Amino acid sequence: MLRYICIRILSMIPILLGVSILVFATFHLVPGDVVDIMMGDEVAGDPKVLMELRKELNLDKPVYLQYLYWLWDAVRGDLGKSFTSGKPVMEEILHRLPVNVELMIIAIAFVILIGIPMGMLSAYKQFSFLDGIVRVATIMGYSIPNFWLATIVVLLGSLYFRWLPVLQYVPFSENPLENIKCMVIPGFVLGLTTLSYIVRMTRSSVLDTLRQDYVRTARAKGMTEKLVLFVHVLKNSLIPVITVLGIQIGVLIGGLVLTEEVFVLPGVGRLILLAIEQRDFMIVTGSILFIASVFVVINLIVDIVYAFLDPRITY
Amino acid sequence: MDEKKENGEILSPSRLAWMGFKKHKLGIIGSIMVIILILVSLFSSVVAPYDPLAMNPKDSLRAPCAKYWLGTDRFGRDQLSRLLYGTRISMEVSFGAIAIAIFLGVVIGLISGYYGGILDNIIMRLLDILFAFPLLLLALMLVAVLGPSLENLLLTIGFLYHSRFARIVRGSVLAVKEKEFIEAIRSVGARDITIILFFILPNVLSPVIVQATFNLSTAIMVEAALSFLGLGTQPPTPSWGLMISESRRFMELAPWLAVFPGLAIIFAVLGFNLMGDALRDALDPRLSQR
Amino acid sequence: MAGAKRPMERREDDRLILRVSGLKTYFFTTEGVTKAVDGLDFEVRKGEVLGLVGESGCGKSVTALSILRLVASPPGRILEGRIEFMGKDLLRLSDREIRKIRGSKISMIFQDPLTSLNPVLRIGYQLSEVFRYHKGMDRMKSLRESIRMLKTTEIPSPEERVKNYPHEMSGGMRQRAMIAMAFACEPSLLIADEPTTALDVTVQAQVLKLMKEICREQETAILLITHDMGVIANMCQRVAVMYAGRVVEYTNVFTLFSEPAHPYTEALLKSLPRLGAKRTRLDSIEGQPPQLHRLPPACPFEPRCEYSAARCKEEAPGVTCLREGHEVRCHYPINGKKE
Repeated sequence: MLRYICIRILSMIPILLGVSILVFATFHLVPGDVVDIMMGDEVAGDPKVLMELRKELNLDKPVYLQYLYWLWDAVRGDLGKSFTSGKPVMEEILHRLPVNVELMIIAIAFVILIGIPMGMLSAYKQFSFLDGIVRVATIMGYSIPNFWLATIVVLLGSLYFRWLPVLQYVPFSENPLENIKCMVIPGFVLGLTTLSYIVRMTRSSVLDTLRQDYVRTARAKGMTEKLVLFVHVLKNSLIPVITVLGIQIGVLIGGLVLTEEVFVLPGVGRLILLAIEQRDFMIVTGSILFIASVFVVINLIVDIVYAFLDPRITY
Repeated sequence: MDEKKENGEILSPSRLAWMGFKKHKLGIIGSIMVIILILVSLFSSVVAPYDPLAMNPKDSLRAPCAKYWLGTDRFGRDQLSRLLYGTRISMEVSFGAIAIAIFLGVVIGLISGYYGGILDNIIMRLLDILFAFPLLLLALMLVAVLGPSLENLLLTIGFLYHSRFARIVRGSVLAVKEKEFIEAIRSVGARDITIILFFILPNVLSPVIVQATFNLSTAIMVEAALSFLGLGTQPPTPSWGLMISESRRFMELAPWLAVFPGLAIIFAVLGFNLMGDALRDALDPRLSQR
Repeated sequence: MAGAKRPMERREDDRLILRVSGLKTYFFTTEGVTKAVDGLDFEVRKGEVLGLVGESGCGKSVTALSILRLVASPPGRILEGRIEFMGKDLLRLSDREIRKIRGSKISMIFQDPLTSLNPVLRIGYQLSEVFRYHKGMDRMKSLRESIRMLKTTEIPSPEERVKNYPHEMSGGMRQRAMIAMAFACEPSLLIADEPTTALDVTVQAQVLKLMKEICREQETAILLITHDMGVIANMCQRVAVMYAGRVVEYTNVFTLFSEPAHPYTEALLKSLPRLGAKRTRLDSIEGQPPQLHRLPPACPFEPRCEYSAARCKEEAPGVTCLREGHEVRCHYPINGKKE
């Protein structure tokens, strides 16, 4: 197991390098350079200032050197300075990160705590009324765009229930209770699509496992249905669910941008959106590199969880 | 790998698939929804009661009524007409993007799977890098650089989705490549290109079709999401995502503006998903774990 | 009538462990009703090995599952019949009561030890479950018992094996572990469903020998389900030949091989290779195995029977008793010694 974890950690390095090259290339190999894009239509920038800026960003050096400088800084946690605010990008990200982390935790908790039991129940009572409702609800669930649902929730909240805290973010450190109040709904909305996938996956996986010979063996040993379900079926059925959850975390991260936008929460997603609008590419590259790296690490964790669940995995 | 199919049946595989598909009631409903979407997008100029761009300040922000079935937006543009034209945009982007994705993905997958070796290894590692990004984030990044426009959106989504097709095609090619009939064809001296195009490609199509149907639905979602964020279709072009975004400023005055475009997205996504489920069950039961 | 006879029978058969009578297990699917077991009768006595033989799909495995009420439902359902085990009708027990019997008084061994063992749980855990559940032992004690049990199945270094997952063991070893699990509570009856089919030939013999030994020690009766006549000859005292959900011939193993009375039994025996036989080709049984949802109205074997007569198409044959302990379900049993 330890060897497997080490190998997986090492195999992360080329992926991270690839990610950094892609991010770098996207922003540095387009026609013109960052400075041109940044200035946009305002052609009349002071040439001296532009030169300074190019020098500071190492744009006067060959491309591969630019990349290496950039990468070296990034590895040390320096993602450059924002063009607009002048603050280090890393500081901007870390300042907003708690919002994202909290939203993700709420969404994932919601998905796991409701999705897995619901999927199991639906499978165990296959063809029942409940199963029918769950199946229809999940198909609907992943057809609803979460930004629309968020919009409607805000609409209903403010218009009909006079329930305004939705749009007033309170940091956790200031007032934990108020903070959770304004984060729970966005978290649920964010998790809804994923919840539908997880319920469906759990359901089909449990159904598949229930048909396996070893479940019959467990019953033939005289195990109670509870033991059969929670000892023999659950662990086996979670294996494919974990894979789907890993993929879905990427979807959730994408959804964060939209959720933050609609609920006006000051997270990294809104930071990126604002930066794109203001052509602050240091923030955009930095944030995307940061989030992609976090995602790579999350995937690593999912893989390790997977290996713990399935002893057949060998490397 | 898939020798478990019941032999002894005289029916051809395509006929069997059709029979499986017909049994799927939800699949039929989904296909009807998809057909409606395609018809609406082809004939939006015929079915739309008004010009979707025609402004009419006198009738600004009207609630749904006999004249404007779904109401009007702040410029007095007919919401229904905009929705119908929005269908065309949505279908254009998603079909166009998925067509690009399929083309790239199938070519890459075929080459990678058929030739194998170092080439395959390099290609797959490169694709791994694409998979290391949350999809929407990569889309944001590309659109941010390319600039927001319909064409860029189409190219971006096409580029993002090709990796999925490449992986699936590669997997299927690896399975087909080892079959005896390929060996037999090779032994009579067929060229690689002939084998790939006439013997391997037809055998990897069904997973591609299934994947394409599902990806159409997510592409609709991504198009709407990016347009919602102002990074896709630009005003005044009617797009569902954009319409939801615009509606937010008048939410309390005209809530209907937020509701209907969302329902249109749900309709489209649901249609493709239902059709995809049925196609998957009919064509390739092994794909059921996405 | 049956009620009046019962006390006498019981005195006569105090060694009787299992009596299955009139068992019907059907499967209700969209394609129609599959009569997997359709009026089955047989008995198993203490310490004896009864062979249940037949082609695949004749209802052997469904019979095994029906006894422990493990038939998947839906689509399967046990419609009628009695399964008397030590005087109790298993079909009338509550779920709780039948669970107490499963794995302790009646245990099962399945065909494929790889799929029958849970891939994500250690062997030791899967074994100790039986002790924990049926004997109320704690973790440590049940694990010690598991190791002891593995020792009796001659698995080398059982202390190490309990830490293994099924995929880390060989096929033979996995089946030994299954056997250890089955004999853990010294059952009165062991149902072995094709226990050696998935194993290598050399391992087959070892596993059969092991089963025989432990059974003798624990005085366990076996219901051995197989399609392999060689295994039947090696293991059984009496044999029930099954065809299309019914027993078509029921006799002791010697009579079965020397004087088969049912044409189907004869055909099965003819398909066996024999040492020193002049034949160069093995006979196969003509036609397809019966489709259980579309059976011929009268004798189910009639379409494939080489002795088929007009009566066989019209009237289902009843049970004929040729002599004490030799029953056959055929209008025209084959007489005399085989040529």
